[in-house]
Amino acid sequence: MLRVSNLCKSYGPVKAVDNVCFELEKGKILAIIGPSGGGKSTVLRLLNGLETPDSGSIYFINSQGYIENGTFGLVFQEYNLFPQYTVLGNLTLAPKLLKKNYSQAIEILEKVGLTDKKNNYPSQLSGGQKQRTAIARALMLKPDILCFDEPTSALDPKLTEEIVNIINQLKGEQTIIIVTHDMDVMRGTADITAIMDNGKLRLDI
Amino acid sequence: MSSNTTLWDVTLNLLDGFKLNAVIFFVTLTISLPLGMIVTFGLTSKIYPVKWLCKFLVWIIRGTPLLLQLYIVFYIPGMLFGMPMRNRMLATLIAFVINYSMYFAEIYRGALENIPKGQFEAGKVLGLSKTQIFFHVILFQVIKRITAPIGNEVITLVKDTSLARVIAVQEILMVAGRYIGYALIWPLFYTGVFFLSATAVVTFVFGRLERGLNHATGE
Ligand SMILES: Nc1ncnc2c1ncn2[C@@H]1O[C@H](COP(=O)(O)OP(=O)(O)OP(=O)(O)O)[C@@H](O)[C@H]1O
Ligand SMILES: [Mg+2]
Repeated sequence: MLRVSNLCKSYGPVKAVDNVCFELEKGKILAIIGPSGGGKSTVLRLLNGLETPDSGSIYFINSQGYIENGTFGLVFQEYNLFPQYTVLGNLTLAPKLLKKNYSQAIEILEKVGLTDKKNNYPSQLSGGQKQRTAIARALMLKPDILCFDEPTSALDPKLTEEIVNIINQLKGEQTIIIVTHDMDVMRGTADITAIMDNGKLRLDI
Repeated sequence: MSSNTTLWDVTLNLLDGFKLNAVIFFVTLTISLPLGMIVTFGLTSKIYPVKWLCKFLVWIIRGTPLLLQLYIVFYIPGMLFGMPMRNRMLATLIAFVINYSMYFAEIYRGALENIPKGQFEAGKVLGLSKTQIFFHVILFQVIKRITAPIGNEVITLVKDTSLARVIAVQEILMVAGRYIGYALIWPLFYTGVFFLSATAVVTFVFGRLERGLNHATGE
């Protein structure tokens, strides 16, 4: 289980993340919605270590109540694929450099429906395919929690559906935090929803 | 020399001079391409005195003519320290290496700062170290971005080598100029063919390089 307590992050006078607290059970999907500038991306960046919090804590707690290690993965809104590597290369780069297993790449590509594109470069992919590559790349390291920042905001309805299908496939086995503008898309997928505005997170019950 | 004014003899003579242009060209590239990288580390350093010093050097070098820098490197050691520069070629190489390093450094810096932040962040989120991110993610993209501007500088360098004549390095224009004393102007014009041949090779090499790099990203 993930436990986030009293997380704060300011940029100058702007309280981007203001005393955010929430818990997320293993295998659940949390969707965070809210207006632009509400602090959604900043929360994901804090969880993934791209920003350091001013205060607060991020812990994984096991079933006995002890703190355990946990890892995050992040799928960026702009994909951030590595242009000089193929789809397969994007997936295997980090595991190879970190001397970890990467044989699961084939299976993961199958899961996101990119088997036939594995030798394509990012410049040869559509937006939806890039997004699926980014998801596959994040899955390679088997993060305990996979975060998505606006995974569908750049995609048309059909491609959005593809991504939602992939997320639905992961449901149950992968803990997920999704930030989105479009709540309709996540209805039926998310287990928990939260609204974020002015840096404050409010769980929606 | 006065009697040897056939096209063949002039060609051989000019070629002799052009060898010096080639030496200046290759030595300058070999040293300034890596040296520029070091200056770039200075320019992007978080240690502010280092950063300012590098910025200042870049400003001085890019803000003054290479011609002037040649004179300074050649004459200043003698004037200030009583140790005249005896080796004209060495003075030329020092001035060229310093000058081109600064230009290359600015090109590297521009390319590095143009890499989207997301590339560094994607690497970090995947657990890669800073060094791994630099060598396995960023470096290629920097090389791809610098190829065209470096190509332009290299073409300029081909032509700049002829400036060495101002401190009496016997490069091709200097050699050709001597024929004027024998009322021959065409050898001077003929040097254009040498420069054009050299720039044609450079253009070809960089064109291939660019295509190769584009190919490596599937473009
Ligand atoms: N690096 C930064 N420097 C300064 N201010 C920042 C920075 N990052 C975010 N902010 C500010 O923090 C606040 C929250 O930004 P954040 O990007 O988290 O919002 P968001 O909810 O993701 O918005 P959007 O839906 O538009 O993506 C905004 O006011 C933003 O201007
Ligand atoms: Mg955002």
